[in-house]
This record gives sequence, structure tokens and C-alpha cells, in this order.
Amino acid sequence: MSDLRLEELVNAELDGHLSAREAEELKRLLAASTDAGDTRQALHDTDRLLRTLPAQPFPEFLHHRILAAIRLPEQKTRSGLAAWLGQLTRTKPLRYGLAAAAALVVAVTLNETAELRSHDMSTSDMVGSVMPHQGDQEYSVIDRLEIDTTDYSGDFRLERRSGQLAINVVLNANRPIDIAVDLTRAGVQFDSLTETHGRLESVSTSTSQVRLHGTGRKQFTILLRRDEKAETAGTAVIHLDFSRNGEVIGRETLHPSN
Amino acid sequence: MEDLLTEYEKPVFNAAFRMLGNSDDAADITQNVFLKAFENIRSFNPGHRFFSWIYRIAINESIDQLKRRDRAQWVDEEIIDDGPAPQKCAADSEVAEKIQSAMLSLNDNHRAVIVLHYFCECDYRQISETLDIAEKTVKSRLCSARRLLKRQLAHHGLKPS
Repeated sequence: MSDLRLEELVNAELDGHLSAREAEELKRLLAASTDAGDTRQALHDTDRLLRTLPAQPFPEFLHHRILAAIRLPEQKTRSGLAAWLGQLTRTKPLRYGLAAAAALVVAVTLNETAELRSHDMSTSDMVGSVMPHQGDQEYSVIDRLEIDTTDYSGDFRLERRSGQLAINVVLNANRPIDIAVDLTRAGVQFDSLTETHGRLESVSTSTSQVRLHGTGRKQFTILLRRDEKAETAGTAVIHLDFSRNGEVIGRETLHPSN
Repeated sequence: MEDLLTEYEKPVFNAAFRMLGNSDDAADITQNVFLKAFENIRSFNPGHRFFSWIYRIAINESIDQLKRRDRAQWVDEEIIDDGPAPQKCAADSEVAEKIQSAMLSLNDNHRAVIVLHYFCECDYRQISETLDIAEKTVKSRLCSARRLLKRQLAHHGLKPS
């Protein structure tokens, strides 16, 4: 008996391609040898195992990430980081290269129609001391940072909510990204963090710095409190450092004094 | 394009995952597949089926990623011993990992036909169209792949209950 022939017939049987003549041949082979029966059973079991393997769960963020990548608008003219990244991403291979890099890129989907309104915060997701924003109270945007490149875009709003400063962030990270928010020269200190959409993979905080690591679509708010000892009036600045794999890829600023 | 994305993103992701064994890589590949499809949609020949075109991109992108990772391994038929047949249900996560591990031990050609047949629900003709190979070759590769998987699963300790 040919093992290969037996396997061919069993494979045809598995795929529903066994002719009547081949079915008879298979029957004869199985009757002639118990080993043949074992081989047939093993192939059937392998087939069954593959068929019962569950589909890999589809990542929640991926659909929107792909849509954002397909629909990203023309890059805005902006000095510094955005212009530099624009030069890199104008070439197709580089676009794929950046997209495929194991490093992190922050992409924030801009919502041009979003109203400037307060955000409800979930106290269960807060880090640090908690001072939730409540209802319709005084609200203004002090400074706003929009980053828009082929690989990432972002919306960072420094807001004043009833006297408290907050940085509201909307992100869409194609790949994991590290963001360091440096408050050393800001005249403010870290108070608490609320994740309103998605969960950041890691967060570490001190009074003068917030470090975040995340992937996919995230929305969170960093609440700040005034640093009474600070002497930065008129020159206050919040530094935002974006990095991937330990390498800084961009630096931006927000100005609490605007 | 969004309709096509909605229809094919999950099977493309699942195919990429089964080719690569890594969810992050599969997500990246899935994104690359649709970016390429979007950018090259004008070159798509309507005489062909869209699924075979997009699955071909997915398989090729996955293979390119594997080459970059340099993790493709051949299974030497002479080395792997026959063992007891695999019978446990794949719903068990440990078993599922072993099956995935066994699949990753196949070469790219064998793994591609297994992925298209079992995870993209392609028949011989559809696999032939997607990979641009003869149906006879599909049949032969599927047969070899199953044989290798049977042995590899036994090697991974999946024994009869």
C-alpha cells in the first residue's frame, strides 16, 4: 500500500473531493491495514483541530486606525516637527516604513465639529487625587496643539475648567507611543488623570511629570493644580515629548500663560 | 472603501495572525494591506475576485514580514517522529497555542494554503487564484501541510484522550 496514496485519498475525503471510485479504493486500503485507519483518523483529527481553532479577537482600535490612516488629510504647514515628518512621509516607501516601524506614533483624530464643552469624568479611572469637573461651569481653552502628519496627529487642549487647569488629549496611536508631559517650568503640578476613552497601557506620575504609554485610540485628561512655589509667571511652558523605543521623535509645547 | 474594510478586516487580520502568530504584527499587516489596497485600487482587475486580491496582498505582506523577522522555519520530515494522533478539542487555549506553534513551524507555502483554507474559507480554486498556483499544486501543498501538522502536533504533545 502506498502511504502517499492513502493520504491523497484521505485529503480528498476531507475536502469533499472523493469520487465514487476513489471512495471504493479508500475503503479497500482501510480494510487491508489497521495502520491505514490510524493515519486516516490522525488526519481527520488534525483537520478537526484546525477547524475548531477560534478566530483571533479583532483589536478594538484597528478599524478606526485603518480608517484614519486611509483618510488622513493633507499635512498642515507647521514649523518644526510636522514639517520634518512631512518631508519624511512624502515618499511612499517611507510612509510604509514609518507605518510599519515597531516604534510608536501618536495619531489624534481631529474632531473639527466638537463643541467646547466639559467632559464627564469617571472617578473609577482616576489616578492621583480627584477633583472631577461637574456640569456646566466656566470653561475656556488657553492653548491648543494640533499635530497632523501621515503617521500621527493629535489634539492637546490646555483648558481652564472652573479655575482648574487641565490638558485634554485625544489620541489615535497606530503603534505604542511614549508621551512625557514635563511640568517643571509650567507653574503647575500634576493633580490627577482620567481616562475617558480607551485604557493607557502604563502611566507614571510625579508632581512635575506625567509619562504615558499607549496604543490605539485614547482620550484622557490630565488635571493640574497651581504650583504655589513656582516662579515662572509669564514664561510658563508645558513640554510634551513624544518618543518611540527610547528615541525622542518630537517635541511640542503648551503655554499656560496664553 | 469603508464597506470593503468592514467586510474584510477581520478575516484579513485573522489570516495575518495565523501567518505571523503575533497580534501586533497582524494589526500592522492588516493596516498595510488596506493602505496598499486603497492606493492600488485603480489597478485592481475587476475580472478577478476582490477577496483573492486582498488575501494575496495579506499573504505576501505577511511573508515579507516573516522574512524581515527571519523566523520562518522548515520542518524536516525526517526528524519529526510520528506519534499518537491529536484529538483534543482546539477550544482549549493551551491546545490553540500548540496548534499555532505547529503552524508557525511550516514553511511559508504550506502555511499560506492552510491559512487560506481553514481561516479564510477558501476552496482549492480560490486558493489557486489567490496564490496564482495550479489547483493541483494547492492540493499537493495542502496534503503535505496536513501531514507535517499531524506530526508537529504530536511532537507538541497533543495526544489521544
